[in-house]
Amino acid sequence: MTQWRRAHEALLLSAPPALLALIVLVPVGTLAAELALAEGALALMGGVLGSAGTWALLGASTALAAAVTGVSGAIGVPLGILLGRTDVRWRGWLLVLHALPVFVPPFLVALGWFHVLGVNGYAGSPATARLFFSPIGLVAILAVTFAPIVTTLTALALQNVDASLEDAARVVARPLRVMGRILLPAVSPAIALGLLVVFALAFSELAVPMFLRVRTYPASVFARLGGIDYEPGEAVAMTLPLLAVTFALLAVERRFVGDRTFAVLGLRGRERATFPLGRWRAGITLMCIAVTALSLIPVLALFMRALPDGLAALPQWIRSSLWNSLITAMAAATTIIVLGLAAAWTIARGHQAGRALDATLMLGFLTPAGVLGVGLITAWNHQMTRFIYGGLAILVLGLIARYAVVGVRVMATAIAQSPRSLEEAAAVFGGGRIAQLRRIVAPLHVRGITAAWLLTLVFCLRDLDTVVLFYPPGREPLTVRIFTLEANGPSDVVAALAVTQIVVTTALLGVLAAAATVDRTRTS
Amino acid sequence: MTPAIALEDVWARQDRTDILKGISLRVVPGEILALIGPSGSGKTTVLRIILGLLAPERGVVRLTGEPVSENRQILVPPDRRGLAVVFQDLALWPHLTVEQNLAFGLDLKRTPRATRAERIHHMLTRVGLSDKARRFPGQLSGGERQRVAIARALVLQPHAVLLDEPLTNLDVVLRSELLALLRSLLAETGATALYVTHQIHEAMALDARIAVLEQGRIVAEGVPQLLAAMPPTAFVRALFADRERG
Repeated sequence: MTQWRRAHEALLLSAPPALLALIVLVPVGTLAAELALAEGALALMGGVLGSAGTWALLGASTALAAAVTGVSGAIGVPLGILLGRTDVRWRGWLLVLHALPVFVPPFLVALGWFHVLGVNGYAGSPATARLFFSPIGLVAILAVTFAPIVTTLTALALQNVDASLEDAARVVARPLRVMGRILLPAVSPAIALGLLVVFALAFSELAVPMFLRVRTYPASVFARLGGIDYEPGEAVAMTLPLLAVTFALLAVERRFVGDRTFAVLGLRGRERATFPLGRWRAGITLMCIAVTALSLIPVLALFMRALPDGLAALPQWIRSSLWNSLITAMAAATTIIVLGLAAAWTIARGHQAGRALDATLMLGFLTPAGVLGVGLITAWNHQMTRFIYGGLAILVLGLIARYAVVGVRVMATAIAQSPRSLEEAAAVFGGGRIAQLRRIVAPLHVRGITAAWLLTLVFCLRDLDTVVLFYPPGREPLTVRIFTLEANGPSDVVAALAVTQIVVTTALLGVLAAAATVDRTRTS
Repeated sequence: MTPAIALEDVWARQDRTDILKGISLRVVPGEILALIGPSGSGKTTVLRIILGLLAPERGVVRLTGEPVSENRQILVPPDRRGLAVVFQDLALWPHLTVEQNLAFGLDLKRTPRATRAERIHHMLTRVGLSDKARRFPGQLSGGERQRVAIARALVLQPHAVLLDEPLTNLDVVLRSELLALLRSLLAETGATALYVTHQIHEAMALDARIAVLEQGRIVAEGVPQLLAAMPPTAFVRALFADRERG
């Protein structure tokens, strides 16, 4: 291979990941530059940061996110163990149903619980409503919504632990000890990742605190970008502590998670011998059903509220929002997969450049949605870039910046499962890096890539917190439409719109499940 | 004679530990050299350095006299070295059929279609798998996969083939059957071979010259009879004692 060809190949392989990294870095970088250089920014920052209220609110938000993380871990880790590795009845179905809330906007879960626990709810009273509209209600709603992240990662990782490690331990120790001493430490990077993601999502959450009227820091930033507290300069200044939190989270992620999850997470858990629960089986199964019911109750409540008038009125209220959601989410997911495949390969193989790229993409996800939103507005709301900011393209850019890590990590996890020697053999037999990517890596992992695309699509579809800050007038996605209508629209129509969002998401998840269970004989 | 493969004072480091400590080796064209050593002695590292998958910390690697790696630099990339490899885990591409696995390297070398088909057919016939050309690796038995890996390496007609413990985990009967097949194929193609193993009887079945690697150093080199007569280290003595015990 000539030098020129090698340089050409290096360029072709590095340009797409670089572009992806740029999409993430532009809003964060522009915001940082604005904070440092804009006229009067220092005075404004001094005012905001000198206020005790700022720090009190930031502390309260951090405490709320920590509480959500704690409760999610307390639910998710034991449930992940039970559904992942014990003989609880119907554990596969229970895991799928329990995981459903993760894939819909938390705001819809809150809305569903409102129809149950609100004053006029199906099981509501003034007392339940008081509890619901309080910090305790906020923690409970978000914990029930995000706990499945920890459950699923724990269960999947437990199903992917090297069987020989477990077998060697089972020869000398009882199941409980094997679980505590061998399996849980082995899957700890996956659990750590789950808890970190929950903290980031809970800290970033905008719509649920606003709906429950609990003051949080990100909601205050949002309030300064619209409505009665309109003060965009202050909003920018307020993002500084959030940027600090972001970098702290990134440091924690690099220290405790990084690329270690690739070793313990597969896309699809393998069936392993289960730990028998014996006489506890029936009782524990009932307990698991009860926890799973917490995921389904709000969805059922929304269905009941939507019937029959809400669904009938749906066509006249939905407008183009579903189309906007689908088109932007598909464009973002496709871009992430196309630009991210080479990145995922580099990350999976542990190259230095891959680690830097992974950290950059993780930065986009860990950055609170409000900060990312303000950054996107700062970066793109100019006369010259009006063609981007004024249309759906800004939504696509925002979604890519926030969710690139989801698609790339899923692809990297899939690629990391196959031995490096498959690519090395191709290299020795004459395949350059592009040939390896095109002829070995991509076709070998086509199911993993499809799964990555679908999962990214679902994450983009469920987004509300990022896009609510900068959606172009008249082009709002479905989640934003539901959020804005909730304040003064008919409640049965709002419920019907929420049901639409859930049905679309469930259909996509069905396709994802089907893709994952396709016969694997060719790759066995 | 210019050696087909030559390593001159090659060092390798990993995690601040020297894996190879100045090894020198020469394999002449058409020769089979068995590199024997205990686990962790650096055998696979030697192989990866020759293949160009790893750069040596110090020293030179030459193929047919030309330097291909030198002092932390890979001068010639793996695909331009004219080598073929059989990895320990075989590394058969699971999404490609047996035929497509063999065609991969030929395809990239732009071998004409007719020549390619003929060479694949010939090689599959030689390894007894002509009726399984359309199967995927996952549909073959362990011994059949081993044959595919060997066929995939030799169909390229490489200058040299490198084999990294390719017969591990096979039963005794299948192993001796494959060793006989490998020996006859190597003789037929005239390819130089570097065979990494920790089994002395495999080296002897291939009629190979032996180099013993221990703790990153070549501690003995020569024909088996010579090493058996004057074992320079306890490991070499144990190797031949095992052989005698059967």
